[in-house]
Amino acid sequence: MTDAATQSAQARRPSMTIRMLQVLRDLVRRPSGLIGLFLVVMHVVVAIFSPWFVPYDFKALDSSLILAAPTPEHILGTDALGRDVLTRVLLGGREALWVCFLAIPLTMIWGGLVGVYLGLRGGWVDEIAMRIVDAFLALPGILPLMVLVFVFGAGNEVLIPTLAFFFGIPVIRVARGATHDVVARDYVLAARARGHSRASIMWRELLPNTLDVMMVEGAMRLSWMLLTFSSLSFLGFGVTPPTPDWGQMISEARVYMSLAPWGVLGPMIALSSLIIGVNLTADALAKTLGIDRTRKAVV
Amino acid sequence: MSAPIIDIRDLSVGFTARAGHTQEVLKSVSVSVHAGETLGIVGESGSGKSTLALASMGYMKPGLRKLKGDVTFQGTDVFAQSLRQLEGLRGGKLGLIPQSSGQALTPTMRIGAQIIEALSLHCHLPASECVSRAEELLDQVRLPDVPAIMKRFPHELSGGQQQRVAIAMALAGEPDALVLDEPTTGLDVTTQKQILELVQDLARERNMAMMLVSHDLGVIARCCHRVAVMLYGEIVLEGPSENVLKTPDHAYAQKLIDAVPRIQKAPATPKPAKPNPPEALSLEGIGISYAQPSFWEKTFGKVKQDSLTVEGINLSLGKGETIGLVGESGSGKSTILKAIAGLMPAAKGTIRVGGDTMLKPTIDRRRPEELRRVQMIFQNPDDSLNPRHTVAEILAQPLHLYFGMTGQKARDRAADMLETVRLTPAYLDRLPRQMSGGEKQRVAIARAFAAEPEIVLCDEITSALDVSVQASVLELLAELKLSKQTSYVFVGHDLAVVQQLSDQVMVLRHGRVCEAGLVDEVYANPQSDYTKTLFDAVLEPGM
Repeated sequence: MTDAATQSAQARRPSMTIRMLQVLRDLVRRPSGLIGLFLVVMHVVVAIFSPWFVPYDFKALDSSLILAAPTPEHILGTDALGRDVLTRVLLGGREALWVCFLAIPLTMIWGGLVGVYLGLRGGWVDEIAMRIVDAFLALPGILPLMVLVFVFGAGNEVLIPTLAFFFGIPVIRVARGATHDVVARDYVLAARARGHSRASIMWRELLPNTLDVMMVEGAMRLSWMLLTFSSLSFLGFGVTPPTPDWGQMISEARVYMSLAPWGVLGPMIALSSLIIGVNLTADALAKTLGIDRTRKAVV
Repeated sequence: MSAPIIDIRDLSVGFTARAGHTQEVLKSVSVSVHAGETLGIVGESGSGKSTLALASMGYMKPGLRKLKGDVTFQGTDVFAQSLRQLEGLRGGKLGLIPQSSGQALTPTMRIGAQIIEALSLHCHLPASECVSRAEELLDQVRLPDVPAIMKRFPHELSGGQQQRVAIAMALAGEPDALVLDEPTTGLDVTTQKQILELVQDLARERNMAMMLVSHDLGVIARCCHRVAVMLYGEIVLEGPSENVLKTPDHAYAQKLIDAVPRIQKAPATPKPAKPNPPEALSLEGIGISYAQPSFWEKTFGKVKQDSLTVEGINLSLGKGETIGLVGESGSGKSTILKAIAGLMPAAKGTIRVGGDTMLKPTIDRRRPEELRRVQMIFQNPDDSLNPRHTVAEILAQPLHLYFGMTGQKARDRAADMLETVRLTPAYLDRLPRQMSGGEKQRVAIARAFAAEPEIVLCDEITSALDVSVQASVLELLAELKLSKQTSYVFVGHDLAVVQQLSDQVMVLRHGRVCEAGLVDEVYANPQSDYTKTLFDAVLEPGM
């Protein structure tokens, strides 16, 4: 290796990891980012480690303690079957987080790639594809999900691709919009003039320059997806009992809300703190990356 | 002498950089402007000239603050005024004419309504008189058919007309002083000349003090009584414009003035007549239409002849020669480049490279080898380099595409290319934002030459650069032309730059050829009236 090459090898531009760390550092400097990230990390840690420190077995029924008020033994009381609410709250986010954390990358990859492609391709292909997207967007969000879960069952192998598919559709729109901003730039024109293939232009010129928008979009979609997952469980289409889940817990406990409000409050606070955390993080991320969400509206 | 209208004393402006360290943008600047006098402020980008102009109105860009010094306007301290008082002052006695007035005008309001708004804010006129006063103002800025203009929206006016409206709005408050921030940048030379004449006339009629900020020494020389030259936030030279522009006693000012390309009426050394070089590029009967052919037109192969934006372009360029395309905006000069590059398909005519190979009108129908032979350099390097790619990655793209080079081989070749454009291999790992405008344009040139092209298309490639940088980039292009025997098609609006680099010139107007020929002949003896108008509008320092 020549001298110059060695020298420049040391001065490489910051790698992807370093860039991510920089974004993270700027993120926690904002109050909203700090609070949001704290809430998200807390939920993730609890979800991973809760099986080892929950006070009771989540399936353990105690017929002597039905809808019992909070006591030092049962800090959040018990539910209609006499199960410890705290235990079930601690475990109740595991399914939601697991499914959504797997589905979001899929969502962003398929929605992002299709959107960027359409933004670059334009013409009649774009025109037809966007009308199909519009048609899907016109469906009330949760209805097709419910039908598919009803037909194919509520397993994760059904939920993850289904969620990823339906959440990817609005992402197409956002990715296409972000691409339109980039496609007009001269470096894309220069690449076209050199005769690069469409795939090469997408990979080298468009994707790196739409990444910021997609990251913010992904964070926003995550919060929506968590809410949708819980709604499905609430309606009885999500997690199969007895596995604890917040949506399902709220659904079961709301019947006794006037008798035992703790049964609803526990999972509600858990779910909302997670969603608020994700939203705050997404907002702070948008500000850190300089993306104006009021202009690039989330569809 | 009477008291100055605008008086800036010992003004320092700065912002807080990281860790409490203060970065000064203006360093102890003192200037003053008297009634009836025009002060020109000239400097390259980043010299602080716009900051100074805005500070004279008591305005600072967000993040900037006054560190010390005073700005007084007619004896009142501008920075001691409340925001309310300042608002009364700005647009009233102290008018601003911004750079792109097209963006300064409200797009959804009719011109008349906007001027009436300015009038009612500053003159407290009854509504009935506002309309007639607005018409009077538009008439003063020499706009034709005032009642019609009043009813138009900003986008329905040309750039020059928009600038006139902006001037009329500034005049609404009967100003005693005007601040002009690059008032003619982005306008065509002929329009620029008219606007400057108008501003000068108005200053004389109303005995206004004017502060004119420009990077263009020609503009400054044309209008200003006194000139201040700025460098890194300091005024390095100030004085009457004849002295400063003809015999500057400061090295930087001298360099700045020398760097301005000038048209040579009679070439000192006539370019040696070349023995007819082999043909590199020829265009025959090229016609281009902005309207893309519809499905039916494509199917039945019918192109409406009258819809062609550019028509009848013929040119023949030898190896190692340069042709300059000049004309006002909208004359079709960039469109011709795009047609050669295949970015905008020519509706008719033939494009040939190397005398034999016929190029198809669109990129996807050209073979890579054909594409390699024609490379393009764009106007603004900020826009033509991918902000997420390092220089090595940028240069590797043509190397990989045309020669299949990857890894270390591509990197070594990229380093060689950097050396041909007078940059060191240390730049390989820089991102575009870590380089200056001139360096970025050099990288863009290196990228074009990495393909070892026969023809390089240059689209106003120096107009986004400062004059001193422009000079070195032009020098580099001239060197590369000699060493690589490349032919250039050079689009420019600056006639002097075009003359410096070109062998042939083609003057375009409304998409048609107005005049074409050898540079020396056309410049020495322009035939068409339009070409003569273009030459007349050229402003040069020391004319």
